[in-house]
Amino acid sequence: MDGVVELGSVLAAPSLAGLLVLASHVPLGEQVLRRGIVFIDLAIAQIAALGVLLTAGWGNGPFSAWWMSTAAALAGAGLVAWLARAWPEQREALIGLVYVGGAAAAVLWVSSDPHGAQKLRALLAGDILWVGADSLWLLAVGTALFTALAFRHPTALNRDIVFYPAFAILVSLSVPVLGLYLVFTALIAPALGVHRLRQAGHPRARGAAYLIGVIGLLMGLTGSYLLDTPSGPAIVLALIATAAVSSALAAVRLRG
Amino acid sequence: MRTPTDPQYRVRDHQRPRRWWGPLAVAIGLVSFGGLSLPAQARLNIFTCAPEWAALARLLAPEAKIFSATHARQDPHEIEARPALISALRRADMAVCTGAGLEAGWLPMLQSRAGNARVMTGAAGMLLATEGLPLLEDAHHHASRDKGHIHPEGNPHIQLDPRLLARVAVRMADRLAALDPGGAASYRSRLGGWLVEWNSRIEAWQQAAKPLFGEAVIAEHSSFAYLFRWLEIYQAADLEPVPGVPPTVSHLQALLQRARDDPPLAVLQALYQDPQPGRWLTDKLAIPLLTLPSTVTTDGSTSSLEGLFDHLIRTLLTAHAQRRPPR
Repeated sequence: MDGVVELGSVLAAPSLAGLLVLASHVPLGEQVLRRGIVFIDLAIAQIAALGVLLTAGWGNGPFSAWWMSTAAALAGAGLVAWLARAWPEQREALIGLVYVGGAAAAVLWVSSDPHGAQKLRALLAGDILWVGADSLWLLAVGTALFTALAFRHPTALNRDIVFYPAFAILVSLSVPVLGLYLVFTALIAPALGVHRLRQAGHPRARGAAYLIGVIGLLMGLTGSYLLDTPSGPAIVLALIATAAVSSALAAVRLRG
Repeated sequence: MRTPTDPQYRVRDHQRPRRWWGPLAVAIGLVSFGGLSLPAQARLNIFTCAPEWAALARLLAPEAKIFSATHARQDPHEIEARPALISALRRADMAVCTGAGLEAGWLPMLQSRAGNARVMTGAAGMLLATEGLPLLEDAHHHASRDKGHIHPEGNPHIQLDPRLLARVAVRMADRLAALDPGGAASYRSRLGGWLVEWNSRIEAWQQAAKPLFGEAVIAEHSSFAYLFRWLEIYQAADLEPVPGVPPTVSHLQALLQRARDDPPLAVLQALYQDPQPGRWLTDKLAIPLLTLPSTVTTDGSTSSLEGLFDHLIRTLLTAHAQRRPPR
């Protein structure tokens, strides 16, 4: 029993952070899939990450870091939206270049920094275990506002003017906490796992997507504890596996 | 733009959803949590930040349960957070870390997440090995914050000077005795026995390493600086332009220009460092690249402290014996 208590106490804060991110990213992920803009998400998250790196030395505390990364993410979202409108034919290619360009700029920026490699890796793979109360607090406020909005105006997210800023703000809040890989997976994997259910008009598709997210998160965290591996990548793989299994189960169910 | 009235989102008539999610979640939860077992009880739980402190702790307190946060193939400056680190520090009665800023990138966060008052900095259970030791003030010390500050306190890589290891061992035995008075006599007697043996080894190593006196080498970072000071080897240059910043092309070019006329004995790199810059330089200079453990390894001949120093000195002596005659 001791082992279980200890597991709970070590993993409580990271679980909470993961659940907070899932709360907003599951509905956002549905939108991303519906709009067919999967890679826009990667590009915006990368630009938010670049903003965190560029402004790391500017101010103190998580608030200033968040402010800068949000500004960067909003600018990135604006850039992507403009590119998509100006050259709709080349949209995917341009988004790919924005992502790679952002990543290359980040590598260049930290190349003279003694802790650069570590910072880059933290933004990609995330340090969900080190999540502190201050960054959780911001994430909780952002998630609460988003959830309230989504609850009162369920269709508001369908509008570009609501979706893109909400998306940019929430992504920039979660990338410094969970890392780019985990944020992208939390967005896409649950939504994709219930894709068939949603297409079949299943009333519980949203609930199933949350369940995929929660199971993947807890399995990944527990697995990383038992196998002594970094947690972020373990959760990413667990989420992908859970989504794949769910998708297969749903296919069998819907056929039968 | 789609709205909820689109066909895709309209609820179709179909049979009542079956509830297969609930049992699945329960099954996965049981499997996940079932694998946990009770930690074995030991007299003292000792957490160490680096393998050399684990090796010393094993010598002084062989019956203790010892956990090392890093191994020889990891960069001790930065490690990735793993849940097991938090629970190991939470259980620890004593922690031994290097200090002098070496673990500044991860230990404070680990301490705050573990919330174990016994091993907070300043508590009796937290021993910082570099505390009170005269540290080398090389580039580590002089680099300013915006260009490559890592350890303003001085070079923390003390583990390759066996004389400093002995001083750390004395303090470790004192601390163990204070935390576990029942075992005090045995910690002291083990320390005494080990010191006698260790001092005679130091003598022997110094004798064996005489041919290396005054030799020049190039190394990456100041990982081996204490070894060089002890054996009076001269580190002519560092592969890193600034401590902690990976080698750049222009810096390597400058090193090549400087070293071409009078090539050093070898280029030394630690196991965890990227071998490519060293390989590039040693190819151009036609000197050996020595990839050496900078601390005790998990297995093999360098898994003990004496094995580590034997290996380091033997490798340098071999390079010395096989050196090509000057062109």
